[in-house]
Amino acid sequence: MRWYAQIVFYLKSLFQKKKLDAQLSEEVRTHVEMATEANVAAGMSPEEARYAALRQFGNVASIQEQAREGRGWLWLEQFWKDVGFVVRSAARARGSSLVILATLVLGIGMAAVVFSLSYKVLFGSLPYPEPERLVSIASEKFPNGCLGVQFQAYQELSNVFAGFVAEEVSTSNVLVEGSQEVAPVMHVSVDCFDFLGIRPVLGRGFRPEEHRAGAANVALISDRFWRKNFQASPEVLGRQIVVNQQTCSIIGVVPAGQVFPGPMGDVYCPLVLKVDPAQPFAPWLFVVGRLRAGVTREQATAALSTVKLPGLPQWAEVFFSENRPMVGPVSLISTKPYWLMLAGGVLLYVSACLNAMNLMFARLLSRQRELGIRLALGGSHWQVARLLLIESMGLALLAGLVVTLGWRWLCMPLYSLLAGGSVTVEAADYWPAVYGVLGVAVILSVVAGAMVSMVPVWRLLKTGVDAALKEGGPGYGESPRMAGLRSALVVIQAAFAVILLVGMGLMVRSFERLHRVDLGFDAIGKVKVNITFPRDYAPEPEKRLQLFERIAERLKVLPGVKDITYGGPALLDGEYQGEQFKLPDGKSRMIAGHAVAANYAQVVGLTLIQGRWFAPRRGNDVLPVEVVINETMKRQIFDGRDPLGQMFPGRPYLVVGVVHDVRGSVREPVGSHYYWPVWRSPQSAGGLVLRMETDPPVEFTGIVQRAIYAVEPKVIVPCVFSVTEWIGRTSMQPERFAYTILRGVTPIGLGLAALGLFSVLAYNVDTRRKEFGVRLALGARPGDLHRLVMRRGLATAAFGVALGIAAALGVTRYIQSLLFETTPYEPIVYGGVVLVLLGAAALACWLPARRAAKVDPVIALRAE
Amino acid sequence: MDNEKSELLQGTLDMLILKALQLEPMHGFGLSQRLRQMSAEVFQVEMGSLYPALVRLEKQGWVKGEWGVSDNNRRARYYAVTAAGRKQLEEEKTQWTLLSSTINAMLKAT
Repeated sequence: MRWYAQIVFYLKSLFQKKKLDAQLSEEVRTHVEMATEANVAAGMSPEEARYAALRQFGNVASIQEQAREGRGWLWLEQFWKDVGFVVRSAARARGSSLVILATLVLGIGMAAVVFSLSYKVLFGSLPYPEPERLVSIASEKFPNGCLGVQFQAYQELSNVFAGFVAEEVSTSNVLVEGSQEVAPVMHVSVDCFDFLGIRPVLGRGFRPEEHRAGAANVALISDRFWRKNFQASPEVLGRQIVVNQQTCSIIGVVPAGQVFPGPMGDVYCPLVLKVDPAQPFAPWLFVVGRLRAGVTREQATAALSTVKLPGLPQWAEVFFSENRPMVGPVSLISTKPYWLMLAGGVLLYVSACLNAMNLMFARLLSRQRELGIRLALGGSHWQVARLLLIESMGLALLAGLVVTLGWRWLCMPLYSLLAGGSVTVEAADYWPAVYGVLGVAVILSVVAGAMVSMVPVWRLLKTGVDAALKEGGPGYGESPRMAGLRSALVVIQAAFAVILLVGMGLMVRSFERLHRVDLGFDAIGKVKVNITFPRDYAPEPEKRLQLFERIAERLKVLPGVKDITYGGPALLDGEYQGEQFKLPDGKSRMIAGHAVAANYAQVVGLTLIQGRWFAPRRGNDVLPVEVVINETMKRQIFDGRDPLGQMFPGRPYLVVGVVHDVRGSVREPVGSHYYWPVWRSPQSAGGLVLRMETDPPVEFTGIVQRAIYAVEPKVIVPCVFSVTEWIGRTSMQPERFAYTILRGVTPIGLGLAALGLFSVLAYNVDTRRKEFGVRLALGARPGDLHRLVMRRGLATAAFGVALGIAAALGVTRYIQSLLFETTPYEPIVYGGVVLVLLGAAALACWLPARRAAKVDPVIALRAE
Repeated sequence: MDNEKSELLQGTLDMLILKALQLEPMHGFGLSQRLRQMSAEVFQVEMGSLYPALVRLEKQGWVKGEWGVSDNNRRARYYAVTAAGRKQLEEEKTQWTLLSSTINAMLKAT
């Protein structure tokens, strides 16, 4: 009750200040009148009575003042007065206020964008019960998951793990209401829904009996799929979709967003695990385990390494015995680029704040005399400091407000630019973050305001009245203390700029290198199409070849297609390692074989180095099979000897030619590859390569898919992609993301750094105009002044740059793993950064010095 | 003339105002008269303290001011003690008794 009354009172006194003041005046008036009457009654004359009454009262104005203080809003009134003053003085220095504001908007905006983009990945907890006990299980040789044999064997570790879930991802044709599309299908293991605490938004999860082979076909669909194909109709339950020629009833809808820890699916089916130790490399599963309470990851790793995989063939046993298990946190994507991005954002934010602080400080110095007078007239240090605080806080909060209000227009484009590169940001991923932006912006603003006012306030509080008046007064030159402080600012600014720019420079350089890697063929305009066959549709070998021929014929007439070839599914796939070959010396090596059509070399652009391409098909095929090998294979398998006419180790293959290396990936080194006729192994046909004039637009995927379905509707066309895009997507993923960010951040960082250096140095020079006037009057030539200024300014900036380089050398090793063939000590990057910053510093000294030197000494001396 | 009139002890004015208002609502002038009368003309309440004190008490919710008409037909603001004010007075009285008796005992001690 009392707090309520107090709030009402507060509000009343806040909003009805005039009325309350009037009320008090009236009360006082009545009091005086009453007292006068009482005095008259006591026998005084009317004038005497009134005088006595008033005297008794004392100073009416001070009573008012005290009463107001009693109401508790005096500080607010003073605050408003201060704000008014600050607004007026900021408006007078409109230019520098705007620059400070813009700097802060940039810094806060960038930091807010970066934070909201990385928040979920870095700080958001997984939406599962007890997420800290969930671990992803993989091994060194299969860093992304487990094989079926491993998963099955791990089940015995029930003393370490409370349970496991596995997800198998495949791409399948899904027939919905008569229209066919390719969708990612996830097969999830028993109890997946309960294990992860996922409640379908509609319907139910799978029952244990539905995971048995031969059970009724059921499926859940994703929220996205539900909205797209069923318009989010609640009557979707019981409807039928065809997944890989199997009719399934829909029994539920999976909630939107990242629901399962692994890749996302559109259709979810029960996993029916079929494991054959003789064929251990399939199926591939994404596995998450839940640790028992108190079990550490190290203990889990140790337990996993003791597991023996039963029934493996001998060759596989060696392979698996060298394979150490890895237990890691369940994270949905690699967090490293996000940390890098966050670091970049924070660095940018700090440099923006430093910039703003420098500008603010410069402004303070020009007001030193005014502040000195305030102090001299009895203003307390705190009162003057309060003005500064209000000024910087006000500007910072205004900047935060601009960022929040302008989020959509200013930051969303940046956001989508940053997010666009390689990560798919779903609406659900960033909207909550947008709501949080207000909070983040406020925090960032307050911190920025505190940072901005820190040095000026500290400086002010240390200044005595006389010192303030003297330094702001008509002195000449700089006091050593002031000069030292300003130099320190320049040094800090330059050092920060160096770290920021070196980091960016290294990333840009690394990305350039990645782009310039020689792939061995012209990737531009090459389109890869993969075709897979559902389990129950496997055409006869000859039919399969004919099918590919027919598809090739059909695709050849598509607009823009110049040539087409086909072969195995792993054409141009840099990650395809091939199979183990036993060499005569007992060692085994991975060799990748590509079954290709006769025109493959011509379409892709392989150049023969030695021998000839294998002969086209004519009638009956006879042994040996003619194969063409690449340079690496010649080196690795044939020790560089002439391989022509040699037989393959252990296979009836005759080497007839050598072609140069072709890389399908930028990162992976080229392995041993050979090419052999696809008609010798029709079952392996699974991919086509199209040569086009340019990289096709996105819609091309649909065109190709429809064209292929027109030939044979049963096949699955999981992917159609341009090879350049594929290489960019798979092998440059982390770099691309970091690069996209840096590409956005670098110009801003460079601009801020240059602006910061410029503003501080230029200001330093500007404040010495009087001194220059004296020097000119005493006979100095403009050239002398230039030299004087440049020497000081450049020396200071150079010191800062040196400091920054030392710091950068220490810091940049953290991004080493993201750099491609680039050391963190790339001289050209450091050189460039030094040149740019010193250039900016030189310009920042020279321009104001020139202006100062041009001024008539008399005017310069009088200007005060 | 005013020399023998004492200053009020810091912090006791609020309590005395509450006490004075306990019987009936009063306006400022009446209150000042009443306070002087209660102290047998010993305490002189400064007007500069009285009105801020009233504002303070009102802010705490211990008194409530309302405009009314005085005996000689003048518009005046009458202050009345609220329930919370009565409670506060009781508390302050207890504390005061404790404090004064303790101090008295200490002064009498030899």
